[in-house]
Amino acid sequence: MNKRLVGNIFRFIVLAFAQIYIFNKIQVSGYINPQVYVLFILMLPFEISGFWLLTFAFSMGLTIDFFQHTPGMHAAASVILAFLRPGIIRLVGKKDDVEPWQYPNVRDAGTLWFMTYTVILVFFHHFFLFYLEVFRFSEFIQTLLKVFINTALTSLIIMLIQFLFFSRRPD
Amino acid sequence: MRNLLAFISRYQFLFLFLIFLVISFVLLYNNNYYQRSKVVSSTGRITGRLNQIYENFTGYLDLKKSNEDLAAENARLRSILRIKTKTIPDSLVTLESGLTIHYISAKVISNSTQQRNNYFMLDKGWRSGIKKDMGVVTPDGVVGIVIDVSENYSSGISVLHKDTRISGRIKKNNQLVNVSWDGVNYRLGDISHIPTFVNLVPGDTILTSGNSQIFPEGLMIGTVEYVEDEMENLFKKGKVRFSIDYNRITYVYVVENTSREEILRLKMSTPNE
Repeated sequence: MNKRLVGNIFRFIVLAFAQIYIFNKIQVSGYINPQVYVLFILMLPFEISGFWLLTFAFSMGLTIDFFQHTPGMHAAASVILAFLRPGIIRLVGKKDDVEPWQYPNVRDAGTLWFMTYTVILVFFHHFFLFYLEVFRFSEFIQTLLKVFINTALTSLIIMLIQFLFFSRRPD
Repeated sequence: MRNLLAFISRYQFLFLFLIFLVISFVLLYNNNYYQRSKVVSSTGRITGRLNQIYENFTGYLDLKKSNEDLAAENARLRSILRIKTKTIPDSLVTLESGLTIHYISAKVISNSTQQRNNYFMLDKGWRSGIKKDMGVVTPDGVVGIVIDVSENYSSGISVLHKDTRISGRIKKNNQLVNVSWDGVNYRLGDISHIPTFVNLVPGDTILTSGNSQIFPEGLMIGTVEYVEDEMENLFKKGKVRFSIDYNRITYVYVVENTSREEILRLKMSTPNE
C-alpha cells in the first residue's frame, strides 16, 4: 500500500509538471488544449475512499490552477470528475476480481474498458472546465467544439501514455 | 442527533463533494482580478520561482530573435535620443501631451496564448516599482495589464483575455474603437459597434488612444484585417491583426504613468463619466 502511495504521488508530480510545462505550451490554435493531468485522478486505486479521491482530485486541480492563474477552475472540474468516477466505474462494469489497491489501467482492464472509462470521464471534466472558462453563453457552439476536440485529444494522449508506460506486466 | 450523524456519514461522499465544489466556486468567483491578489501573492513566490527556472532553460532558444529585437530597439531609441537630447535631458522620461510616463523593463517568465483567458508573469515586482493596473507594452505593441504584484514577480492579464478591452483609435481619422479578443486565433483581435459612417477599410492602423491612462498614447495595436456589417447595417465590426506575436514576447516594458491617479480622481469627481 505504501508503494502504491509513492507511485500515486510520483504520478501527481510528473503529470502536474507535464501539464504545466509541456501540454500547456502546445501552440496550435486556441482550440487545442489537452488536459492530460486528469490521468492522475483516473488512475487512483479502485478501492480508494471517497474522502481521499475527492481530496486528491481537488489538490491536483488547484495545483494546475495556481500555475494557470485560474484559482478554482480546474479544481471544480477535477472534483466533478472525482465525484462521477465511482458511478462511471459501476456503469462501465467493475471487474469483480480486482485486488485491493488495484488501479484502472490498460493492462489489467483491457483497452476497450479503459478507453470507454477515459472518454466518458474526460468528456465531463472538459465540459465543465471549458464552460467555466468562458462563463458566457455567447460562445456556446465554439466552446462545445472545444470540448469535443479536446476530449478526443486528451483521451488519445492518455491512451498513448497507457500503452507506452503501463502495458508491460510487472516482473 | 444520532440520525443526523448517520445521515451525514451515509452521504459523506456527496457532502464532501459539495464542500470542495463550493470552495472551488468561491475561488473562481473571487478570481475577478480586483480581489484575486491574495491567492496569487502567496503562491506567486513558488510559481514565480519555478517559472523562472523553466524560462532560464528555454530562454536560450529565443535568444537570437530577442537580441535582434533589442538591437533594433536600441537603434531606434538612439535616433530618438539624438533628436530629443536638447529638449529633454533625462532620456528615460518622455513627455507625451503633458503626461509623465516612465518605463520599467522586465522579462516575461511565463506566458500563454492558447487558453481562453491568458496571463503572463514578469520577473520584477514591487521592489522594482511595479504596481497593479500598470500597462505592459513592447515597442511594437500592447501586451497587457498588471493585476498582481509580489516582491520580485508580477502577473498580468494579457490582451488575449475575455476581460481585456483596449481603448484604441483609428490612425487616419482618430475615431475611437475598443479592441477585444474572442478566444479563437491569438493573432486576431475584435473590433465591434463601430458606427457605419466611420470610414474603416482593411489595412487601416489601430493605435492606442491613451484614454485609459494605462497605455501610452499612439502605440501600435494592429492593422485591420477585414470589416463586415453588424446588426443590419447599423454598425460595423471587424478583425484586427495584432502587431505583435503574443507567442514570442520576451522583453517588455511596464508603463508607469505618474499622472494617472490624478486623472482618475478627477474623473471620479466629474458627474456622468
